[in-house]
Amino acid sequence: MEDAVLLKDIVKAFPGTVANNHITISVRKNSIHGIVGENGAGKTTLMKQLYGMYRPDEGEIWINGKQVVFHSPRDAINCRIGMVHQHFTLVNSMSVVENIILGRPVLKYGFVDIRRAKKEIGLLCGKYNFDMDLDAKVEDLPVGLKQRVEILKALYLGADVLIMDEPTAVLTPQEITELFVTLKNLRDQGASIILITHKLSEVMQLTDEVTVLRDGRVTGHVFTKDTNEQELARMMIGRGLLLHIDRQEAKIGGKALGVRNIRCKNDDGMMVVNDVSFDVHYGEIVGIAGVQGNGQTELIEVISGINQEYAGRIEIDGQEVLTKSSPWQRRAMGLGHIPEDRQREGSAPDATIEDNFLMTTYRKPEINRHALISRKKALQELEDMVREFKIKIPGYRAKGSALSGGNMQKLIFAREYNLNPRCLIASQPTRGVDIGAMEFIHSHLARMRDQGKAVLLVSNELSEIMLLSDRVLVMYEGKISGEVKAGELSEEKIGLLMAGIVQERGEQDVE
Amino acid sequence: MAAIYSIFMVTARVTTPILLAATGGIYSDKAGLPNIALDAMMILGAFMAVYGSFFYGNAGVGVGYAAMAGLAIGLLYGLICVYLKGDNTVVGIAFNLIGWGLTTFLLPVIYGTTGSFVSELIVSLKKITVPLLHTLPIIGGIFKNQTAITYFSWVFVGITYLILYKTKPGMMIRACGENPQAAETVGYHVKRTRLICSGITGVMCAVAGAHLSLGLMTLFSEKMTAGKGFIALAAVTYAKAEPKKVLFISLLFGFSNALSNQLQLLQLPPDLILMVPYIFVVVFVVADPMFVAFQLKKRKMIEIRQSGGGR
Repeated sequence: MEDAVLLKDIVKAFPGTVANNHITISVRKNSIHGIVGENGAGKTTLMKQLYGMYRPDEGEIWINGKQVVFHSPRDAINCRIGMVHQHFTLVNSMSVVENIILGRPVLKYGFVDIRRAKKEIGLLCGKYNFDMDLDAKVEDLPVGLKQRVEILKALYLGADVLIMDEPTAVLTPQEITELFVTLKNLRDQGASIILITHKLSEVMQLTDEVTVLRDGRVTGHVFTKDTNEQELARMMIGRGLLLHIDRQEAKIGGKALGVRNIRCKNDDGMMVVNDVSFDVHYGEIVGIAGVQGNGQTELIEVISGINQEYAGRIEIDGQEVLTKSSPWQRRAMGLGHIPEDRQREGSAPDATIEDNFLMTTYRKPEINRHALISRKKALQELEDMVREFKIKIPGYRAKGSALSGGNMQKLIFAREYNLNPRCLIASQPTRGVDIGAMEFIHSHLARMRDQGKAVLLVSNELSEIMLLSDRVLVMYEGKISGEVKAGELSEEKIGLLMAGIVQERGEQDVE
Repeated sequence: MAAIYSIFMVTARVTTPILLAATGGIYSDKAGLPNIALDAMMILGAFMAVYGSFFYGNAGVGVGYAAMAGLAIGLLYGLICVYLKGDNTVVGIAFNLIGWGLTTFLLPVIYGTTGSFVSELIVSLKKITVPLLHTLPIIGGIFKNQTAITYFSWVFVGITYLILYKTKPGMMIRACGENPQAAETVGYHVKRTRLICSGITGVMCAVAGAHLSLGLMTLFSEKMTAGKGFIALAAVTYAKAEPKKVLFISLLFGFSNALSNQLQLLQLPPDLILMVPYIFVVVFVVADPMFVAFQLKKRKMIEIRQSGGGR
């Protein structure tokens, strides 16, 4: 049987780098094929060629045993290839149906026949077991459902090869489970799926075959059942994996951050943070675990001052914070903040890398003299950071959007680390970054703690929380449902608290 | 009673240029290339309409000239902004300045007069009264002594609504405006769509201008749009290019305009009266979103404080 997709000897170069260097990959029909590699290994570039967005410099693309040349995504769609991008290509103000039929609407007397489209999509949903409100506006949907709309859109256009570009980066754990069920179901019904990722646990769970890329070359091709995470990691980063972090005995100091009875609502009027109180001390890392959407995001927005519509009290370094204190005033009191959404809150994609670095750094007295910013000093600091954190950048004047997700995250981390805050809020600090960068960020967080700083770590990755935290608070439906000390940490216990099955927060440590 | 009847008649008449220009502006706005030169295209339309009507003795030819000029200007605007990557704001301001400057300059060149051009040879648009409907009490005024452009402007808002929300081109336009990447990945041509929409906007604004110089009056005078293009722009922007809201704002302008005409009987200074509709629209467009946002915030804070109840 011929392959669903055969990429033969693909070469694609950009000024300065060879993104794909003689890559050959074959994807069998009816299989889930993982393509793994660190950020910048060339995965996405390769897939954009298969989807007609780039043209390869050299090499051939074969679909179902026939050689093809794609000039645009339209050509790829006509060859029954669909792609779900990491950043969704949906029109927010349109309904689910309209988005799905966007490329090929059914017409009746010149008008779009929404009723027939709905019937067709309903059949499609039935076939793949999707539960979907077709009339909902896309902007009102949670991320997981938006992704499902993208998948439906590809299927509606007839795709039987589906490219998924880092599909789990933005999903909650439950949504990831649902996505995996969906993808396996699609495979069983005859589709071939290409999964781009750098999360090895997902590869092990989901795929049938894996191809590993490093620096634009294929460094391994194996059947999933014959391999394990360690082996894949070695092929991916060229060395073994650090599984824990060396650190000193905790030296708990005074109170760095005090949070009392915080309550706030989201835009829909739901009480999303309901009476939350806790302390973070110098010299400890406090983890906030919880399934995404249980109030963590909103809580951090309140503490950092992004949202000033809340009730309750906050103390930083023993000083009371006014409700109306701006994020900057809070920073001046010793707070640092790595925002959870690096695209929207952490960086400005259209500004230069230098300006992105300056965004919080500009207030440093060494850089900001007599109300003028010294570009020279700023550039020096940025150069130091880029070297220390091994950030891959095309140039200091390049746009922020030119950085890959992992490198942008490193830049934001470097920026906040460089400001030397006494208390750092790290929200999803390693979301979407590769293993090398993740280890790096983890070791720096641990180092900050060892230096006697306070760290508040919010993460959806339980393994990350378990690895780093001295104390774990679990959030469930806007409240702290429990607290677990370092010695008693077990994934099972936290899991029960996250699911809201156990509630065990007394009034004990609230003064 | 007769007074109210005539207020409705005047409302329909003076709403037309705003409504038509704003509805035309919807296309550009929805396609992702908001056009801020509505006023320029309007005044060029007014000028070309008089030109056509004066030289050919036919108001229809005048409107045709206006439409063609509008199409040309609209496409030029699209060409510069979409294909030559001109900055929308800069190009828009330039067009507005050129619109007023060019018509002021051409007035003496073509007709040998300055300020304004009045002639018995300019044929104005025929006033049409719809049989039966005009006899309705109160709202019958809408159907009495109106130009074809007025009736067209009503129909056109409806058509625009249908096109945008019920047809494939409409889906294409909205996708191009909101998420060009989404449009591209399913194979639409974003640039071409924006260019065409810019052309539509140009035509409609110019025809709205023709209604000014051949419908409301029978003359061309310098800066005769008196900023009506900008009111249309405000309507489009405030309405987020939704046809229903555009209609509402246009009517607000037209109605307050008609109302202030009645105020003339009170012997107020005419300049003051001319100001009224503009103030009405500007205050509304600015104050309404502010008010809504303020209310929302206030309610949210009260709810947070109350529902907790302390411990």
